[in-house]
Amino acid sequence: MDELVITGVFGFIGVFIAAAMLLYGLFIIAGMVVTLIVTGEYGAAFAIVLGIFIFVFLYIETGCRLHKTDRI
Amino acid sequence: MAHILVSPLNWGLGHATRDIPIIQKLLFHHHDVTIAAAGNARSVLEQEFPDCRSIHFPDYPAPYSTSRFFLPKFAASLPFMLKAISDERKNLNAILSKDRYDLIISDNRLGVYSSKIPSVFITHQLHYHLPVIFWPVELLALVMNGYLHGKYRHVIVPDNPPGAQALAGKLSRPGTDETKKRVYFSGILTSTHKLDIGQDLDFLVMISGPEPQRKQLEQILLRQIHNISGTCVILLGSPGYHDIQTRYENCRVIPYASTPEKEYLMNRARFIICRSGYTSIMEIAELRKNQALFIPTPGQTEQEYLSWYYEKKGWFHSQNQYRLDLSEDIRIAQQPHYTGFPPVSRTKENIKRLYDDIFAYYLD
Repeated sequence: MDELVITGVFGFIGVFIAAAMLLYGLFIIAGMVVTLIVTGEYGAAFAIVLGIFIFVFLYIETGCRLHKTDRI
Repeated sequence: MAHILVSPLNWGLGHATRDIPIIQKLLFHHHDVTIAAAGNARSVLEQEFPDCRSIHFPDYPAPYSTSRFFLPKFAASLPFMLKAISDERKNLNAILSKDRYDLIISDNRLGVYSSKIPSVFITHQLHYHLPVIFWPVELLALVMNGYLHGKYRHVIVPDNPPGAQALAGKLSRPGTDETKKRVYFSGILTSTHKLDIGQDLDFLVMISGPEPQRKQLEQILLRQIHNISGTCVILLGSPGYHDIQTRYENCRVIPYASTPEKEYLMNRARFIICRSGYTSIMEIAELRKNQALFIPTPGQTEQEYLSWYYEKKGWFHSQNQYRLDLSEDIRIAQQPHYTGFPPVSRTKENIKRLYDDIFAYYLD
């Protein structure tokens, strides 16, 4: 098979696996937060939710910064 | 005398039409040109160059969305596109095995290159624009483009170098070393010429692009066209349409115009209303029109970026088709702070430089 096509197939599989892992990670974290709330460990649940917010903020901030500095 | 394979992508006619001045130049230098294309792109080039050999060479279906959401459909089409590129590689090998070629010119066809024959790639998009939320994908696409560009000797960008005169903004900015060391900024390339005629037409409306967005824009514009005063021509870009009523006495509706007719009307127009596709952009720059209103195709991130970029630079006003208020947007677009594009070198000059700097090395 042509090298370009092989690279494309591997690239597509890589992106697909990354997306699946991301969804799986989100699912695990959501389950963890629900379990912590049910068992009354509100402090730990709050810490995880806070961590998620910080991650989302940093993700969006990085995108905006790259946009403002004309990198993307 | 050398033999060149020219292969444009058949996603709209823009790729084929910008190759017309290149093929004319190659023929002027007495080279043989074989056109390898599909669909309308092939028909246009066959019509323009009846003496050139033409080969049916299918490419990939355009992932145009019927909704406003272009990206999900594009992502879903990737496996099919990979299959199409695989077929394209096989077809190319078959074409190359039947004849001797000295140069391959691929206009945005990712699989059209050879390790044995010098190959050049033409694109105005070195950098894909995505919504900010997808910034990692945008960066990844830069790396992917670098890999793809590495297959070619040169990457020809029909734009001015990055800077104040770059008409495609960040789209034509190279992102990786692989791209940077191959890129050649040719300046605009268009088959539309400046004619020595007066501007006696107040408005020219060019409705184009993929369905159903083309039809939607047509309906939006026809509803509002009676709000403007002055002579007006509307090109529907839709062959086969005959029964269009207009409620505006100074407005003529033309279902479909040939390339020379369109060129003539563009030259006559004082104000142009069209999509912000890069082909139209190059035509407007070539004709040095300073007054236009751009309406990007919803969901096409390239056109949406160009509209935003021209607004930011103060060159032209743009409006989303769903928020269009024709008379008000024309009034805004005519404000003196919209300057139009900076004067750029024209196709004739650009094509001569491109031939001397790049093609002559492989062909003469």
